[in-house]
Amino acid sequence: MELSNEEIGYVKFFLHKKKHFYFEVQVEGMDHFFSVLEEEKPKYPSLIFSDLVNLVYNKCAKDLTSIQISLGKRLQAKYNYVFIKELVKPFTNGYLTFVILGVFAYFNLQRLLHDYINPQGFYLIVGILNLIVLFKYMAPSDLLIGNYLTEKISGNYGMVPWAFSVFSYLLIKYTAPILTTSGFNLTYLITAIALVIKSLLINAMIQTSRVGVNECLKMEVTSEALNA
Amino acid sequence: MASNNELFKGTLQTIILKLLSENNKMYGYEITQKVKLITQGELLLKEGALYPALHKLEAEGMLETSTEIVENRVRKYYALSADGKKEVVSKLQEAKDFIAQLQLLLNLNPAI
Repeated sequence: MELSNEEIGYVKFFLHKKKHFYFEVQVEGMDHFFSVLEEEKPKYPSLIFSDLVNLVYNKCAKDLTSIQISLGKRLQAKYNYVFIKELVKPFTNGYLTFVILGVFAYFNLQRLLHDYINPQGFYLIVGILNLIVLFKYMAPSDLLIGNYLTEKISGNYGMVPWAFSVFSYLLIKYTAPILTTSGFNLTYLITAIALVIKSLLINAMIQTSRVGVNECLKMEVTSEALNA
Repeated sequence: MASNNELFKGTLQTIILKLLSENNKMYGYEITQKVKLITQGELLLKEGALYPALHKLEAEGMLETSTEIVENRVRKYYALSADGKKEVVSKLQEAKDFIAQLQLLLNLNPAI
């Protein structure tokens, strides 16, 4: 039995309230829910629609959760694969030179700024720049609803680069680096390496999130229909 | 029948691939209903098993998905990919071999 537009709207609102709001779950879960609802509706002709929806929800809640878990696992595996692929990419011949140059540049930058800026301040500036980059590239697409894709990426890997920042910050704070007569300092070398690793991690996150955002954009037409 | 479902667990992917080879594209609920219809209600394909299997097959590249707007709502369809079309042949052969071995092992009447 076909559902009216009002009934469809009510179910969308109902499921949204029940937190089954991720786009990817909505597409599959909602259609499953509607299909069961259409099948059950003729069996309960005297039941008001909201009660019927509740009845079907009690029947389907486990199925919706199973769809959510299954999609979550699939996305997780997919993004882990993309993330690792992006992370190891810099360790090929061309990028390796870039990585070594990066360490060298960061190391010398810290040495140069040693007498002018507090090294902790330097790391705070770098941290803020990282944050800007992350927000610029990791913002979800213009989908108006919560989306599993980008949340998964930031949720899974977001803290790793920050851990490197905290490590570098604390290392500088507690070792209070002093340059040797030749201008070398081990702390600066370690923090330069940490900074490059952190940049590689952020790059991998950005590339991974782009895959997610592109997928969202592809599904935008369907998303508009969901929100209609 | 619960025992029936247990026995069918290992062949779920084959069932899905076979159904999709006979139908151009299907959505999740349609697959459950088709299985119910073919087996006259003897085999109930649980959504908790079906959707993970569909997602796994999709991740393995056996299935392709598309979304369509049907009656003011979005429906996700599954169809066999080129790899899936090849896989269905080997999966069916695998199932036939398994049934033949089972008949030998359990001394079942071949007519069963």
